[in-house]
Amino acid sequence: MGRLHPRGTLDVLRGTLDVLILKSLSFGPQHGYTVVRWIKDQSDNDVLVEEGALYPALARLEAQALITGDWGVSENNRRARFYRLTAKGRRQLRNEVEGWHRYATAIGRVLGAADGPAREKS
Amino acid sequence: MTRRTEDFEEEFAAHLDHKVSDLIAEGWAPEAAQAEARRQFGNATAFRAACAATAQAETRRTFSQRISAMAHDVRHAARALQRQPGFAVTVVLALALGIGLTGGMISVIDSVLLQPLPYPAADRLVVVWSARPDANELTSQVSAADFYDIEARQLGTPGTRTFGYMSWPVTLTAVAEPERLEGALVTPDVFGTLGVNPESGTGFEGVDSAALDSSVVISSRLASRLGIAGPLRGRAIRLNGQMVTVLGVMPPTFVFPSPATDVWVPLVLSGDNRTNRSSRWLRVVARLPEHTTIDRAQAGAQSLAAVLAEDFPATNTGWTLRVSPLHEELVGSTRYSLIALAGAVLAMVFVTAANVYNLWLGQLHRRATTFQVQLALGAGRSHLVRQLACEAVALSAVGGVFGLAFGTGLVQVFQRWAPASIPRVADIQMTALGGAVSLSLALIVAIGMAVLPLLSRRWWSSLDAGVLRTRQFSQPGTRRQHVIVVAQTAMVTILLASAAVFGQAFVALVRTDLGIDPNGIVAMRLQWTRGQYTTPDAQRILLDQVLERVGSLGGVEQVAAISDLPINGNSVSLPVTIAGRLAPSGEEPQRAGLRIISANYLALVRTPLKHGRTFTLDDRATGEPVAIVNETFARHHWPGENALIQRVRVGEDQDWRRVVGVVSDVRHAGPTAEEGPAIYVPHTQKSEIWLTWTWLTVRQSRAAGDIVGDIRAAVRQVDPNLPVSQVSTLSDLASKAVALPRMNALVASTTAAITLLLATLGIAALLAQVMTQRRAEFALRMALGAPRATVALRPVQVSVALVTGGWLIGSASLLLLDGAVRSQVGPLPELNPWMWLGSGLILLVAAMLATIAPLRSVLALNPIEVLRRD
Repeated sequence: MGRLHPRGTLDVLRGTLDVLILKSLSFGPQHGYTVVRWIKDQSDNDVLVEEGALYPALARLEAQALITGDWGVSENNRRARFYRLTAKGRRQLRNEVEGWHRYATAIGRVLGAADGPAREKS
Repeated sequence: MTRRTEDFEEEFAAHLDHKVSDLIAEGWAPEAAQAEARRQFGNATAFRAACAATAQAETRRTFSQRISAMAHDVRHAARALQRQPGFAVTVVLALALGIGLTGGMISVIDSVLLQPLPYPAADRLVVVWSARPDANELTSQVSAADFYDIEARQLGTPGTRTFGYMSWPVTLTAVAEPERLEGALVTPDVFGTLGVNPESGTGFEGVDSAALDSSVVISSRLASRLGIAGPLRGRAIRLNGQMVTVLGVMPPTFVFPSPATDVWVPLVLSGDNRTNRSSRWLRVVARLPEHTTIDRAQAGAQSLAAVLAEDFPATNTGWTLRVSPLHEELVGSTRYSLIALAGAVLAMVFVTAANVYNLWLGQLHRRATTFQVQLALGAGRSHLVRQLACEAVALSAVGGVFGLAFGTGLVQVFQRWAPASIPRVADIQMTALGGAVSLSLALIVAIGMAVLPLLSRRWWSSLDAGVLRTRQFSQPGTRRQHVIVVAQTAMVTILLASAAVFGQAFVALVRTDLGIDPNGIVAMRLQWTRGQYTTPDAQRILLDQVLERVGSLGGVEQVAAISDLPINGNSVSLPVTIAGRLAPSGEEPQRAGLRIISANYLALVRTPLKHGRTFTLDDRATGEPVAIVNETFARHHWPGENALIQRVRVGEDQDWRRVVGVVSDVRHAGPTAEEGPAIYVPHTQKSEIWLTWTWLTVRQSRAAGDIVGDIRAAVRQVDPNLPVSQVSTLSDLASKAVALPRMNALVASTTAAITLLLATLGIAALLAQVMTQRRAEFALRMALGAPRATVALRPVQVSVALVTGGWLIGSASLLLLDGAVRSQVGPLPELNPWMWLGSGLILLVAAMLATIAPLRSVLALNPIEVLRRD
């Protein structure tokens, strides 16, 4: 799972990791390392994905036919496996993002409430 | 696709490389960067396995998810169908009827027409006919001498094997009750030619003629009845009073010439019998050698016949030989009837399919609201299609299974009731072809229904519109449905007309005057052997004793005898000579059917006497020889003259007989065939010693219980070795004689009725749909003051118009088809014009009935409610 950064990163749950991977692939095919780096950069070093979590997640997503993998040549002129989204994966991403926004909005509203729960009149 | 662990190796290696590059870019030294990268990467081995395992687990999970999704769809489909029980039941019923009838009919056609005969390479077996083209004479029999030449010269085509046969009933004696068995006299090469060998023992080939005289081969059915099993070793049975050795037992599937044949007796001819070339009585079957066409065989046979005509001009001038395939002989006559019936069933299939299509389409539109809701809640289109496909498959699977069961039952009922005149009746069963056709039909229907929603773009776009208003849904192709109704009605018209025509033919036959009164007469056959009763006197005394004993039984009002039973069709035809006329030499003599009767026979069967008298007890063996002729005989030989002064000789008569009476013609071969000239002779004056059988006809005085048992006992008292067989009543025989036309009429009526039912359901469904869709319109008009009745009138008018149109089109097609059908099927009565009008009336009534339910729902509408909902 995620590693506690000295500055206090969030723990990354497995399901959330899946959607982060999908999001990173939505810009185009990537290989494993660039996915990790992109997430780290985008979250401003708050989310660090361990390889031990990444590769099982990629294998799982591939088995679910949300992503497909092909061998290619990376920036280093190295043979690497590139992943890209399938149509199903794109749909999944859309649904998850929508769900996540709704969830986050709802929680945020409750947490930012000005009034407490109504008191019983005695 | 699960990846192998080796794949991951390379991927991790690439990952590490990138990490090292980045660290070096940040300022790390290369070796330190490598160490740090590896440390950050973690324990590769551990999670390499985890990756593979995860991938596998995921695949398994997806698979089980799919299974449970399918199970969910099936349950959903079942519930959806339960909510529409009327629709589901109607569709299943329609499918079961249509598929059952189709599968059943295909099975019958397959069993009778398509399945090969049960002999190896049966297509090379042919039947040999004697024909005299100039005299327009054709018979399926050859003379004995001709046969031996045919056998020796191989029918003119080298390599041909032949054998001759004749039906030959035998009596199994020395069992509790002497029993008559079906047998056949066969020349020794029979089993070799047919290609089937006995399953135990041997056939007749290579057995010397002395032994052949007292040998037989029996069927496996008879063998198991007699307890004959294992090696035969000279096992003997008693046939016709004589001990014979059983040489072999045939396999249970062997059938020749009829399914009931149990004994094959070798035919050994000698002396005059062998050289007789004029009497044609032997049937011949031949097996052609390989690669011989029928035409070549025909040519060979004809040249052989020419040689015989040259060598034996007295008997063979003008005669030739013809060959035709054995299969054609057996089943050719039914070909057209079966194909005609198949055509009717195809019409039914169309009607079924059209109805199912209509009903299903109606369902799709009626449930459009439900589907819209489902789509709005997030179900994908593919999900919807999958669900509908599930329902379609469920309906057609159930319909198909019921159809298969219904078809099997139909075939069995048909087989039991089918007249024996249909060839290969015993073989009729639900065949693999019939079953395959049934299941394929169900499959095609399922696919059709499942694919249907995918084809209608308009329907999908209306679903996506997101507006839940019934009115906005497009009507199902109304014109298409109208065309279907018209086509169905036309087909029903044709079927109704066919049923009427067959019915008319049947009724006409039943009303034919048979010339006798068959009611209440029991008949049975007696057969004795020449060995027991060698002289005419002995045979006369035997018959007199039997008649006396049976006549004195309580329960027997009258008993008489005749040599060949009427309606049965069997007859002995012998040459007759007329006194005062000389037949020109070289010409074949005139023939007439001979009937040897007891004195009271004509009175018993109530054949009208036209002139003169019937026989009396005074017509004794020692008295003046007399005869009675039928009207056709009198008209043919003495047109315009008085028959009663004439004299004739028939068969082996030594003296002239005086004609003492003329009676009406009797339909001896059944209601369909006219009788030829026939002559009756009293049994006391019989000349044909070889005619060792007779039929007893008994008129019962009361509904006697076991009068047959009493009669058997009485006969046994006269001679315990005399078997009594083929007990039946004349009414039964008369009924069996019309069995084929009756069956045609029944099948045609049933098909017409079922099709009518389906068409009515179709019209009802169409109207229901239309009424539902235009409910709002009706409600509006009713609210605006239009009386209820007139509002609903328009759809009813439309349906009446459609039905009338269909009826007219169907009638027009009938006129077109009439000529073609008659030329194929044979003589059929003209369609009675009242029947034709009647068919129109029936259709109209059906259309009216179809409108009842939908009309009622419309008339019960509360306009306000309906308008509020929209």
